[in-house]
Amino acid sequence: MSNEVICKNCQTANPLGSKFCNRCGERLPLSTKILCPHCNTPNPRNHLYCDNCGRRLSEETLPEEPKPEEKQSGREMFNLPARPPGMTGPLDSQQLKEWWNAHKSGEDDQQPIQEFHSLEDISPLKKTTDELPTWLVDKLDSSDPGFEPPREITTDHFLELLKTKGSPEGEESDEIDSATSRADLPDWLQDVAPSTSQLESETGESKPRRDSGLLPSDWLADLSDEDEDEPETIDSWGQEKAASDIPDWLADFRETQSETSSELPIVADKWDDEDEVVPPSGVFDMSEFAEDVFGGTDLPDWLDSEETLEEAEETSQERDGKQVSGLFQSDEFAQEVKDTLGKELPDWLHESDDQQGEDIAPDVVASETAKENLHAWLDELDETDEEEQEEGESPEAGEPDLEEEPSDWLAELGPAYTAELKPNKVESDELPDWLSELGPPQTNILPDSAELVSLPQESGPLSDFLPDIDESVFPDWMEEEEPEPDSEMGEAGETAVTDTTTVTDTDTTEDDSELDELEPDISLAEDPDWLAELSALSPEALTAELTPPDEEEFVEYEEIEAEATAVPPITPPTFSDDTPPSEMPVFTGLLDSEPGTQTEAVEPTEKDYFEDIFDFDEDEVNEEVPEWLTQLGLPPTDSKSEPYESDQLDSDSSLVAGDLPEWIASMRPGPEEHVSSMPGLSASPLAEADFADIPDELIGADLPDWLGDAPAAVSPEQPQPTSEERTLADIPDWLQFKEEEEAKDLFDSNVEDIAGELTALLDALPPAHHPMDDLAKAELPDWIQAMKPRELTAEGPEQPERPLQETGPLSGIRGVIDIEPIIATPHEGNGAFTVPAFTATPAQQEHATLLRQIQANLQEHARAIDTQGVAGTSLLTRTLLAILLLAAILTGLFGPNMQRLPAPSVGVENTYAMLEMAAGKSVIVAFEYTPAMAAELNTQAEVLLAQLAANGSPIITVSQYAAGLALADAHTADMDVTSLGLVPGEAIGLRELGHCLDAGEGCATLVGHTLDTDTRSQLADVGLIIILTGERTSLLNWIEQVGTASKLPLVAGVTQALEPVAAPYAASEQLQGVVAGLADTAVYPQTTANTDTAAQLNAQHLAQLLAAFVLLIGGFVSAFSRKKQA
Amino acid sequence: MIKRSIPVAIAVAVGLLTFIGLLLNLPQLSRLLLTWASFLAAVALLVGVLNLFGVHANRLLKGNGYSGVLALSMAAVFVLAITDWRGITTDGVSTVFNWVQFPLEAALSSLLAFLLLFAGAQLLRRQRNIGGVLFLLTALLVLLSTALATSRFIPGRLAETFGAVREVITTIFVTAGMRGILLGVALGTITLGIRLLVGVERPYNK
Repeated sequence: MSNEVICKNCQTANPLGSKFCNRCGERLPLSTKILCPHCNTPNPRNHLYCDNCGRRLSEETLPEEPKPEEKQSGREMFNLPARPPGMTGPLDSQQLKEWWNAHKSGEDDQQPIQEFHSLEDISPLKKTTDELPTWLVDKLDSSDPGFEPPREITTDHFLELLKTKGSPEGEESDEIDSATSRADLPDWLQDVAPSTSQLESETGESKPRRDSGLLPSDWLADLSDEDEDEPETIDSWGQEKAASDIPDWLADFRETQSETSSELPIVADKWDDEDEVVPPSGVFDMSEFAEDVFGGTDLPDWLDSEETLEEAEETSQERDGKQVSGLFQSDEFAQEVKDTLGKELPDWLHESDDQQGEDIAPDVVASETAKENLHAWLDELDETDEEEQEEGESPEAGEPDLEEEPSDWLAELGPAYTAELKPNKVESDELPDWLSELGPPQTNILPDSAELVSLPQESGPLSDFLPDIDESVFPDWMEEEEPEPDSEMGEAGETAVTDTTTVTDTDTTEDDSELDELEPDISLAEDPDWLAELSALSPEALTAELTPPDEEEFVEYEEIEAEATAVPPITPPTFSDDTPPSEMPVFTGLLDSEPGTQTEAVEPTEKDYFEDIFDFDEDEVNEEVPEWLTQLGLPPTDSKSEPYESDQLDSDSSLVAGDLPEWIASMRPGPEEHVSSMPGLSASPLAEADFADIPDELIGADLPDWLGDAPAAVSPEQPQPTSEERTLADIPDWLQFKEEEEAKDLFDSNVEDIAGELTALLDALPPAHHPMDDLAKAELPDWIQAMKPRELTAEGPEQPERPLQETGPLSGIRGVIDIEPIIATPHEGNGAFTVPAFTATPAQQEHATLLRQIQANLQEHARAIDTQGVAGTSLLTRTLLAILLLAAILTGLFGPNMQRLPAPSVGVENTYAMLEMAAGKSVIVAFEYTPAMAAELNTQAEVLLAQLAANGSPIITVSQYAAGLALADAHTADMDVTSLGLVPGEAIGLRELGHCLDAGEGCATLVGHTLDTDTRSQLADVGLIIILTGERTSLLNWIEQVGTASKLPLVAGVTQALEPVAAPYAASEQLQGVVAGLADTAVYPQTTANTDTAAQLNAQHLAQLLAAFVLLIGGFVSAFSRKKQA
Repeated sequence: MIKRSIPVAIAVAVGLLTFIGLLLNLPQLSRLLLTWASFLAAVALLVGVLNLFGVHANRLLKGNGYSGVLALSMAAVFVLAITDWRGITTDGVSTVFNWVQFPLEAALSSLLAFLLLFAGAQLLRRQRNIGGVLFLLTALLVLLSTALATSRFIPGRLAETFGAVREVITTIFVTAGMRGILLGVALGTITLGIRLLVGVERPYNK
């Protein structure tokens, strides 16, 4: 488990949780804690298991492979960093939108924000409509607001802050800072306040913080930090604006514009005559304005009178200076204003006092004072207009009808003023305070100084006089501002663009009617829309979707183009005193869509300028932009646009974020001037070679043909100009710094800043490492470790090496369990195990052959057995034998006595003795024989019963055979005997009888019979048991069950055939006496007197002799006779 | 499963109880079980008699004469037993036994002697081997020794010789053989008892 974070830069181990390297200050990977879902214990981000409870912190599923970044369109580069900290991945505008939408208000949602065109489309050398950039043909009707200003920063809030005008600047700045800090601002906005508050004192301290990239995408704030590095900007701009949110680089650029704008020619005479022409961006009729101002008739409220001053002090006076350009910042002007109004001009009006004083052209048709204070660019404008008039081009493009007194600040701002003329304007209360704060007050000051009077009265659209300016001096972004008719900026916007194109082509101005249609009915009491657009600014809006234009739109464009072509050339519009503010030309649409046209003489605030660049309000553009303004950016000739080609658009969209146009790069502050606050942005500037390394193919493919002349698309043969050269060359003269070194530094810084930001942005992206790298190595439990194969552990094999199996199919394997030896070891042979072949041996084959032969010849050899002969012979023999037996028996019975009596056997003597011993006691006589044995056993029964009777022993008869009971009854018919009856159950019954005999009188029942008292007494007095049986089972059951249980002496009278069975028991004295057969019976003492027994025994002996003779003869005959066939 | 397990359990339990009663000399336990067994045996005999009568009565109804004789004989003896018990008749059962069963069984046993003699005479014709010969010789010796041992026509020494031979055969060979048979029966009984106790032998499931 790692508790350290290794710095990628210096490889220094830092404590876990560190945000920056303790050694080099490099930003360390985020060490966000992971809360354990089980115990809520914070764990390091790289932990898999909780330190507290051991639960797994994340699911066991690998994170999805990062999807390959979709091909980003060229507009993607405008998706400026606006992501919250920690968010990685491609710069998806949707993510930005969601994040920003969290801060937007519902009111802001109602105002659609136009999408911005891509940088790729802003080419410096756009000349023809065929080469129109794709952003003009893109579908710009996106209704999704791309940018939502922080709602917490309200106008009221800033107004309150500005009310403290009398307070020291430092305090005001502090309040702003504090207010900003209190506001729930996005990070990028939050960075503004501290940066501005530290402008004077903490210039160098904020760099590391922004370099760290921890701050959110506050590239604007980073830009604003440039103030820290530019004291002169702080003096003139930053002090007045007091922690303005506008980046310094924009401010610098604004200053540059201010300086250059003074050099522009101002055609004051035209300005007076024409009443509808909307001056170009930053260029307005200064003469009219001056007259209004110095005449005291149309003085803005805040300049007009004391009451106005009071009101201004109450409401918007503190906001005035922030919106006034440097045109009014001459000492003379300030003095005149002071004299007139009794109030000094704010400091910001003195911003470019010196420069303006130098730049104002002397030939301006206006008051000398105004001329002196006009900038050179205004002079140039004047000159241009004059030249155009000389060429016969009637400046029909009317001056703005200033019947209604426009607000001073609008007249002052020029293009910014036109923003107020947009329809669908946003009410002042709808605008964020901080935005409306940046704008001029409602009762703004149109400078009524004499300087403004000298402004060119015929200062028409910028296109009127810009063509006279060398295009090479225009930066790319200004060239890019040329609207294209194919742009899907909405119908109105398209119309405006078309008109602009037409006007540009024909170099004419629009008539008043057209301008009247376009000019919105806007109340000066409302906050200008361009401020609202600022609030709606979203980097996402910088991306213009490339979609083919609708056919209808294209047709409309063509119609408008034709109409515009028929219109005489438009001369630069001039503002007259009676030009109502509502008829003031609308610059916003133009400015919004064409940042390059930021040539306004009236220096807007930094945010104004920025919004003018990036903010696109479709409705505003469509409806409010005068055609003569929208024509500014179009090529002078061949305004007919080509049908939209999707292929080209696709190719255009292939620009990557790194392909920033140089005009953007030039606008970025240098690394030494500011530090980007974009997340992950580092302070390291992007090398110039990074831009030079852009493939030519990419540049050429992404840009239209008319952009092929762009520096980036220089043919390989030509030396590739450096970014610095391109940047400087693309900047118009009026935008060029007088001091080349200063301009160079500025553009270098811009380029480097942008490059640095981009680099930092890329660096901020998490390194592309495998997700598994972040996973800490889990600690396996012991029980799992125990399961780890020993081969993978250092322990090695634990068990000793076992013998190697050398034979058999398992040869080569160690530790084979030995087979049973008797099976494994062959009984014969040389010991080698051989697998018997599954082949039939000759013997088996012979047997199989024999079996088949037998089976085949079975029917042939089968024959019937001659049973008739055998039966005949047997019958004769049997009959003979039967006759012989009968003869022998009869001879024995009725013939002479041929037998001698043998000596009595031991068994007979023992039996006799036992009967004598049991004299007087009850004797159980079991008749376990049937009439089949009666001839042999009845004699014994009669002899024994006679003896018992002679001895006076009570006789108890019992039998397990029904026939036995009958025999008992027959033998004991004349005796007094007790019969126990039938005892069923064989051994069981006899066992019970044995227990009953053992129990004596206690035996009340026997085999279900209730025993009477006499019987129970006789059973208790039993002294001998006599078993008369011819069956082996009966003899055994009596001996084993009754004799064992009762322990009474047993004597048996058995047949001669059963004598061998009784002999063992007699030998073991389980039988006390055995009388076997007729021979023992004949010698029994009581049988002496019985003569029938001698005749029976004589007949038996004769039959036995006959049988032996028959067997002997039969054996001999059978032995020598032929074997009988089965 | 239950159908097979319950009988086994009962058999094993009763066998173990009987064994324990005999082993530990518990006559009450042994008598209790034996009383149950005897009662069951009596019931089984009664059931058997009734089953036999029923079977043969059915056969009688189907025209089987022998079954009719059996069934009628059973019924007649049962009736005589009742009449004897009631005093209606006197020794009716004994009379039937002495006049019917006793002569029949004696006649059948007499035929056994004739059949054994005829079979022995032809023994060597069917089984002319050592066993047959031994069997025949043994039979001859036993018969001759028994008959000639007490014969008046044979000299005394020879009669005693035959008597001695008969004694040897009876006391040695026949007794040895019979002991072997008895020991075999005893071992078989023990084995069967163990099998019954452990439930391997299940005669009650047949």
